[in-house]
Amino acid sequence: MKRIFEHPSTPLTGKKYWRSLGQLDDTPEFRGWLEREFPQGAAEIQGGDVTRRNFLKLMGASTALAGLGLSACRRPTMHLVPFTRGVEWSIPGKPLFFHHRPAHAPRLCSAGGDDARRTPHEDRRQPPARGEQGCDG
Amino acid sequence: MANIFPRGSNILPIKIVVCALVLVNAVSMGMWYYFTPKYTRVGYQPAQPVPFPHDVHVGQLGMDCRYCHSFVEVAAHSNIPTTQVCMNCHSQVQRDNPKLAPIRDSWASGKPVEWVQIHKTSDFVYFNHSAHVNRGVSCVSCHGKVNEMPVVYHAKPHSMAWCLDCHRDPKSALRPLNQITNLNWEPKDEDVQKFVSTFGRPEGWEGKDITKSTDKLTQEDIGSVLLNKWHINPPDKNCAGCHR
Repeated sequence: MKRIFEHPSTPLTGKKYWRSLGQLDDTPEFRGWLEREFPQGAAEIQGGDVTRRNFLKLMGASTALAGLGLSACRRPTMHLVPFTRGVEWSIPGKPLFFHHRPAHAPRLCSAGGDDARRTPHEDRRQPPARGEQGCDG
Repeated sequence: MANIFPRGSNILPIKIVVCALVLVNAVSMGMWYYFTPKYTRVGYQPAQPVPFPHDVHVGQLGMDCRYCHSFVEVAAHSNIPTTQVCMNCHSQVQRDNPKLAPIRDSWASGKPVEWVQIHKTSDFVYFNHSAHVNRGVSCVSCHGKVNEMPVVYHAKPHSMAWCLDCHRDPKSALRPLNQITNLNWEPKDEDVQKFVSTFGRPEGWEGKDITKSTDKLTQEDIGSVLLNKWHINPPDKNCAGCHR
């Protein structure tokens, strides 16, 4: 429900108060300026085809359309990338233990395994741990 | 002085409360459905670099799931086949099919084919394929009838509630291990004599003469026998069972 709010009417007697210097002067220029709803320059961007009204219209429409359908609200596409050539003995997610001793390396233990244990993950071979004796076999 | 607020505004608080209730309910109901995997995931069917038709390979040619997804029984992760696996056959069959060009390029260049991921388990969930497949949960329980899909899509919601549905009632999904990759298996197809001699009698079948009876096994029968036989006890109340 719209209510029309009315200012209190101007008292006929007693003091009269002015609300701006322009009203106090009461010149014809000021009266003309008061009659116009939008003072010059306030309503429209001057010059060219880009008016304030057009600008708001286009930007409003493009913003509304951008939000329509939540175009940015998509699950990202993820890829699964298998090997091209299969790696022998490798099982995804499981380390593959094997024994390995370089040809020039001396034997580390007299009994049992004489190799250093290696643990490649997905065929990326890990270097031996520092101080590893590798006689766990 | 005139009243600032008109008479109609006396009812305004009630209107606001009613509107707020309706709005809150609508939002929560909307989120209940639209923000769950049941809506956001089921039916996800991205275009793959090669439109691999599972219905031809599995449905018509009768290939086993494990020919390509070869580590499903031994690893947590069910692998996508390497280009080499495709080339095992396609170096002989359909050699000039233009749809297979990405595979041939990959084989020639050594650059892997980038398949689009469909099923994605969140990082905070521990899921082990081998644990399920080796204990009588078929592929079809989670992935749907892939053997009938020309292009694979997300068939089941894979939400936590959906996981728990089965974890709280494992009987509904268990089947003999030799039928795990047979996606068209039905409990009634199961050979009663063979099943009973392998796993024992289901409840209610004690006195029955199975050599003469024409009764068929139900999922309940098979599930409860296998549940006891294999001591299946999936985590259903312990959060750390899956959220490790």
